Amino acid sequence: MTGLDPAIHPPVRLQLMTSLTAVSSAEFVHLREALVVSDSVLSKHISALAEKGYVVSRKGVVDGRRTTWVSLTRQGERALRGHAAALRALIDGVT
Amino acid sequence: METTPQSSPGPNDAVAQLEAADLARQRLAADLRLPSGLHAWLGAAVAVQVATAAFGIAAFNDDDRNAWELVLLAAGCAVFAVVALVQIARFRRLNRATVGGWVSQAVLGSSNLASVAYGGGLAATMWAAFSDHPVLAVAAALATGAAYAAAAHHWWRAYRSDPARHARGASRAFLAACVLAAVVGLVALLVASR
Repeated sequence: MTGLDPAIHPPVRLQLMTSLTAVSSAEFVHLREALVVSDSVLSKHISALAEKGYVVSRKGVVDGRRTTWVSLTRQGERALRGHAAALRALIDGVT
Repeated sequence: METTPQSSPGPNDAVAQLEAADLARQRLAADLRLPSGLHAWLGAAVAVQVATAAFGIAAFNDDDRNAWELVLLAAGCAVFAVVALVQIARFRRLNRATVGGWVSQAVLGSSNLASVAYGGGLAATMWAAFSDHPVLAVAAALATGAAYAAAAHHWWRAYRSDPARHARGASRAFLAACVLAAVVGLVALLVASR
């Protein structure tokens, strides 16, 4: 597991963090629909990544409804780059 | 709750994971939509701002300067600010996402293409206004707006082809420096025109 980050290893987390590189922040609902996962699954993964400091979530109000915005942190970006590099190294048979 | 992988994925698993992640990112980026009429609004706002700046500063250069010239200048800036804020809010509501790169590079014009279009257009419009060619000044302002809108469209195409590279916006410090430079430049133009 050299270079692979256990916190990003689950496929949904890798997809979530990679998706967040395309935006500055996204609403929870948008991410749930894009990743095709349930509320509870997404919530669980966001909490785990937030605990590591890889993502931040903040509450907000849009058109009168409460919502949660999620964004990738700099630390998360670095961790994602490292994890992706480790996966590519595996593909290339470097490790 | 923390998941600890028990073993390394094989090369095929690694390929599948990276492909799935890239696909998820492309799907999210592809779902993003621009507010209707965005480029027309942006181009018109820039044309108004450039025209009012050029005519306001040129008129301020006359011996019979009036306060309305400064009001005209401020009104042009206000029009652009309102249009930009409304479009940013529309984008956010439409997409349930924010893209800092789009705000700073496309809307606020910090991309190279938009900066050149705006700088060149403003210079041409001011030259025409100072040379007492109002029709030419209006045409130059309209061309500036069109070029600015085209630069925003170009940025969007670049974003769609590589969202991760373009998503991040300029830092707040950079944007603050740009605003400061614009204010200093405006004051310098006013002082120089007296």
